[in-house]
Amino acid sequence: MTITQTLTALASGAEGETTVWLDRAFYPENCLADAVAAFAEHCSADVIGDRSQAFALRIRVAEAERQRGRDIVGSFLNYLLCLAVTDARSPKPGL
Amino acid sequence: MADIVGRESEDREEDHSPGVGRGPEVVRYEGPGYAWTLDGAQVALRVDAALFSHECVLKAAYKFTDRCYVLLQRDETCPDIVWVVVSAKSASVADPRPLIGEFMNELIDQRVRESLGREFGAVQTLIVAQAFAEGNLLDPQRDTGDYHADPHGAGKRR
Repeated sequence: MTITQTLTALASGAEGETTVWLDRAFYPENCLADAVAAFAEHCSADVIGDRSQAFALRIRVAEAERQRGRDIVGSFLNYLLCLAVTDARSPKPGL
Repeated sequence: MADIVGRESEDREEDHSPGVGRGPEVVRYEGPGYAWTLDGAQVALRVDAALFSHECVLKAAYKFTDRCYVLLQRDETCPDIVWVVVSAKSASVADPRPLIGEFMNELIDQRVRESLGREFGAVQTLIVAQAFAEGNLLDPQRDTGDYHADPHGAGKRR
């Protein structure tokens, strides 16, 4: 995904549905389930693509929240980032 | 929209510029750093991963989540480049340029913290351990030793 497509993807969050490629180095997939559960009332997120380094996430904003689509998508990504920071700080098994 | 200093097409020959001709026009963004924008509201800042570790970028991004929506993306053509996409939360913030400058400073701050952590991490661990320990970790005899035994030889003639 080019940065052009990334900027477009974020902007299209306002339309209620967007797809972003997330790099596993920044967004571990094990954090995704927690973020999806936390935002279940506001949006749904599905992995629709997979590469070795990244995965594609389609985020659909709930019908009732469409007016706040940009904020919902942005907040979801921020929350995922916070979980990633926490994950990076926690000790790994075997270390 | 913020001032624009150049069109993406002018930078085609420059390595690692964002994809050209694959969507809406992305333009260079005037301000600190090497950044691109689609509409002025959200800006993509290029960060060299050789200078700033993933953890630095992650921590810096985390510190901005109270004011912006942040998305981190590795460049698909060059893994040593990370794009930090920043979008102000408040619609009233029309110009995210100050945020970009602050973000760059925060990256340096995190980089310095990382260096200090490597240099003084062991000392920091020892200080924290000593703060919570009951005895003296470096010199167990200091607090509990018997002065009659004179473990340090303080009474010996020099």
